[in-house]
Amino acid sequence: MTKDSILMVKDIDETIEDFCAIDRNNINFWLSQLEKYDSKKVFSICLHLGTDEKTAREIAKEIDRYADNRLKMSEIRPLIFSLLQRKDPTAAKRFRAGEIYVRTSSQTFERFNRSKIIDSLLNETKIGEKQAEKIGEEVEKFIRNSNLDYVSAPLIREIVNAKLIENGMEDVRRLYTRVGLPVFDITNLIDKGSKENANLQYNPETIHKLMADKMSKEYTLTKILPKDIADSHIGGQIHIHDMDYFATRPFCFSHDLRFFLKNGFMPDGTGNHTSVAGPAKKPEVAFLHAAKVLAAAQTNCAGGQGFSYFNTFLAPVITGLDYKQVKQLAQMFIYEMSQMYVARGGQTVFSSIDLDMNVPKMFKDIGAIKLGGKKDGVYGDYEDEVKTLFNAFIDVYMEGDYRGKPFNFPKIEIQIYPKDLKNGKNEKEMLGISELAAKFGTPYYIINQPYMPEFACYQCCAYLMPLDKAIDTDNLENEVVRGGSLQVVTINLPQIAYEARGNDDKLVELLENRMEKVKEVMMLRNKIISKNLNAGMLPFLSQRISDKENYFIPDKQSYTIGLVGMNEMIKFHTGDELHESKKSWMFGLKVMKHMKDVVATFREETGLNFALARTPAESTAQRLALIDRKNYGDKSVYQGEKDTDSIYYTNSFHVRPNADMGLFDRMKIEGAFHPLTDGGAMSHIWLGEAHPNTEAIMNLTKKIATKTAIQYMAYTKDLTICDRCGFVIGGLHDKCPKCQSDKVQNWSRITGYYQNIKGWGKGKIAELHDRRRYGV
Amino acid sequence: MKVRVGGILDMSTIDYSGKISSVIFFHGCNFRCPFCYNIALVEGNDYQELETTEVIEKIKKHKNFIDAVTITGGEPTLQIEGLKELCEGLKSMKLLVKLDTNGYRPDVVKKLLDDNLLDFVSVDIKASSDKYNELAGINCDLTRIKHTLEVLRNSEVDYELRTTIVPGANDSEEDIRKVCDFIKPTKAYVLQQFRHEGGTLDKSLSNTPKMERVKLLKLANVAKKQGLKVKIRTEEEGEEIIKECLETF
Repeated sequence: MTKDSILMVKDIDETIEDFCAIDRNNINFWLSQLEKYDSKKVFSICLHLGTDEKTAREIAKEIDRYADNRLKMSEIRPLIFSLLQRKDPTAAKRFRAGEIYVRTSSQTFERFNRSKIIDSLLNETKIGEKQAEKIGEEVEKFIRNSNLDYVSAPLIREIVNAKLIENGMEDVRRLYTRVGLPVFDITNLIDKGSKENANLQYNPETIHKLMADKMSKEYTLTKILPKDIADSHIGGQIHIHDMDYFATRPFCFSHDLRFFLKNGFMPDGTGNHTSVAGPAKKPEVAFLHAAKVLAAAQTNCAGGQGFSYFNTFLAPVITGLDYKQVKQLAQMFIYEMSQMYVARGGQTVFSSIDLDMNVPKMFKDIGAIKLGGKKDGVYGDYEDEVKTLFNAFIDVYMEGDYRGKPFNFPKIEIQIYPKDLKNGKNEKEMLGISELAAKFGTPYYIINQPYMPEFACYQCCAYLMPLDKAIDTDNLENEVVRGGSLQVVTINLPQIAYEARGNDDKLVELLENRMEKVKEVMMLRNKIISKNLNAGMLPFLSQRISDKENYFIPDKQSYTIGLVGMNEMIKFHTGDELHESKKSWMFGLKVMKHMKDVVATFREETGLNFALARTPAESTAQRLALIDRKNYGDKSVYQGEKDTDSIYYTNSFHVRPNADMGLFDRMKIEGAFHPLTDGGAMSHIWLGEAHPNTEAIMNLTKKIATKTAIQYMAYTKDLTICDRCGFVIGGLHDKCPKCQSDKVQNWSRITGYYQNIKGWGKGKIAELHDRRRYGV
Repeated sequence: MKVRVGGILDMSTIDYSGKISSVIFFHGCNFRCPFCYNIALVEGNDYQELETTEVIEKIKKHKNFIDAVTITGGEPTLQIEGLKELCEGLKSMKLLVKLDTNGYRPDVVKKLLDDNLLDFVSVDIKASSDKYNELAGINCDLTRIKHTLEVLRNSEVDYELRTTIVPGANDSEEDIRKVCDFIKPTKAYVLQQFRHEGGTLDKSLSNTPKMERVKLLKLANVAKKQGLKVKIRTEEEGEEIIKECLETF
């Protein structure tokens, strides 16, 4: 440093000598003796002290006029100090004291203080005091030794975590760690969105949801789940569905509309944040309440929301209206459900309605709730209204939206009874629903097979809730027939086969082991949701329906155990696929039966309604196949395109999608699994004809209902919708057959609902191409 | 007895109206319709020679779900003996049998009907008599087709006559009126949308745009005015019965 420059600054502040004397006690002085002068360092030191960028730049620029890299940083320190004194006295004080400043998460500057690290370690983890102090010291040393631009609170935490690992304290780290996202991932989410859930559009709400999802998923894996369970999920032994909502809300729910017709409606469950409505006095208000109930419930639930016996419970509301008026109401409801694009981060409500062609037997003598919440006669009196409303809904669905597109939500589920079909009952309604199936493929058929509980509701993605177990019989009369699945966990069957290496006993042992793990997850979830309800976190669900009872009762929900890849498991274990030999089919049924028995013991042990079900596995089928291919290599058996990521396991107990076989044989093989699947099964019939014949579809439905054991099914028709001219036609076309435009959307049923295939994952796209379609 | 088969479809909802049917495609044809989109069934060697018993075994696998079997082609009536044997086999399985034909072998249709082997007959009417040769691709003796229609009228069997409407070839209102004159009286008349996804025998037709449903409806209306029972079949809406005569279009 030259004499001139010192003279120049000396005039400005006489305390500088003072500073030089004190600075020798500062660790930063000694560290800076090793560093060569660099203008950028001056700039970052100033920033780090909390000056604004402009000032920092000015100081750096001024010093750079006199200094060059023959100097050491320690020689520049008095200069920095004096300039700071003039431009930012507070920062100068910090500089003299040798303090490190931290940008905290609450967006303030705070003085670095080791004891804060120690306190937070003691507060958040079970670390000992001495150990905490040691970590604190090491962290401070590390920070002081690093020439950091600035230190942020998250960075300090990362350093603490690194020190914890160095000191062999991984358990402490798990509790102390941060959950968040790499900047790169957030950029990707913002720039490209995600394909994980086909139901999510690329929009700002979704981006926020996905960020939050990632965090809560990671939180669940890190904090909530025991390590061995988390490892099971990550290793693909099991798949815990909707992990993003694991710590907060239950899965799906089927509601009783009568409760709201009778009592009115509070969307937030308390009336503190929303207005409170009394019982609907006008038909249109009743329909609107119905729509809002599902939306409100969606804020408290992760999965599908629906109404069972929907048109039966609405029947008393529409008395005296002509068909046109009824259809208008039905249309209003369907548009509400398919247009409220606000649920769970920018999605429509995942909704469904179950429709009856006749008043169900068990409601015939039950008092009917009409407008104003009063009782008037019994539901048996409203047979005509039930039919009128049924036909009105079918007509609305037939028309599609303004552009002629099908409504994908609410999903429409039709209750049919094999006995009625044999007797030719409800021919007109059956024709109507068949016409809808032929046109759009949208309806789902709940086939009330003799082996099924008399009283059941389907929800969301075809989960069967046997209500006779879930509810007290007096709920029937008290307008609270309700239920849902609280949690779904899927077991990866092929992986079990790879591990068992052809040994039957080992296979069973591993299967039971996986199921035990699933049970553990379920018990944990039961505890979490009960806790959240008591804490008031789920206000819509914790509404009181009586002095004794909440609207939602965790102990009465279903706990759904699903499976994926029965076909691939059998192929690996027996050498044949499900459809290739009777032996392999029988083996599959044996495995299924065993699972059902284990589930029954869980029910007895826990008193909770455990159930075995087909899970939709929209992304799971691909995720598990990818994990297994990585770990088991050529040994693994999967579907899709080899050597790409477009691979998948066959869903549940289904026959491989592209197995070239007759429909009856397929339904026969799958149908045999349906009675064993007490939590809900589903079979798909993929149609290849652009427009199947209505009567023939009705015919086929009758045959499936009366000649197989299928309990729930849907026809899937691929659709092409032209964005340019609005033309809708069956089949997947690259170009609009009418106007030749290539601006077309391709729609199909992913598993549980219709969706533009643009949002599908690679595994599902591969399956879409593989599907054996009938009629072509 | 062997039959030349181009393919078997296990399940269809559209080939036998209102029924689920398996479809047997016979190979070989005596017509050369320029708009034909089943070229492989008309020309080339893409077929199997199967014993009728083998065909029946294949059908048997789907017996639980199907109501019927549609026999189409190509032209099934060219393989008279095999066709008869096949029909007998199917009838003994209590399946309904539908025959698709171009009506050029009235003797065969009559024989099968006399033996009670058919439940439904579909006859392609290619065009009005003045354009028949052009759309059948051969020189036709129209009395043979008229004879087939006579056979059907005189039997109890359910039948339909159908015309594939080819843009620019047989799609004028005048064409339809003349066809109606040619076929009256008949039980049912169907206008079908022209398709060319798999290419057509006359390559120049492969680029013809899709006939719009509205246009078909308009032509159907002409037939309806002639007092016929009329249906249309399109890819977008499937089969539709024309319920009333529309005055304005």
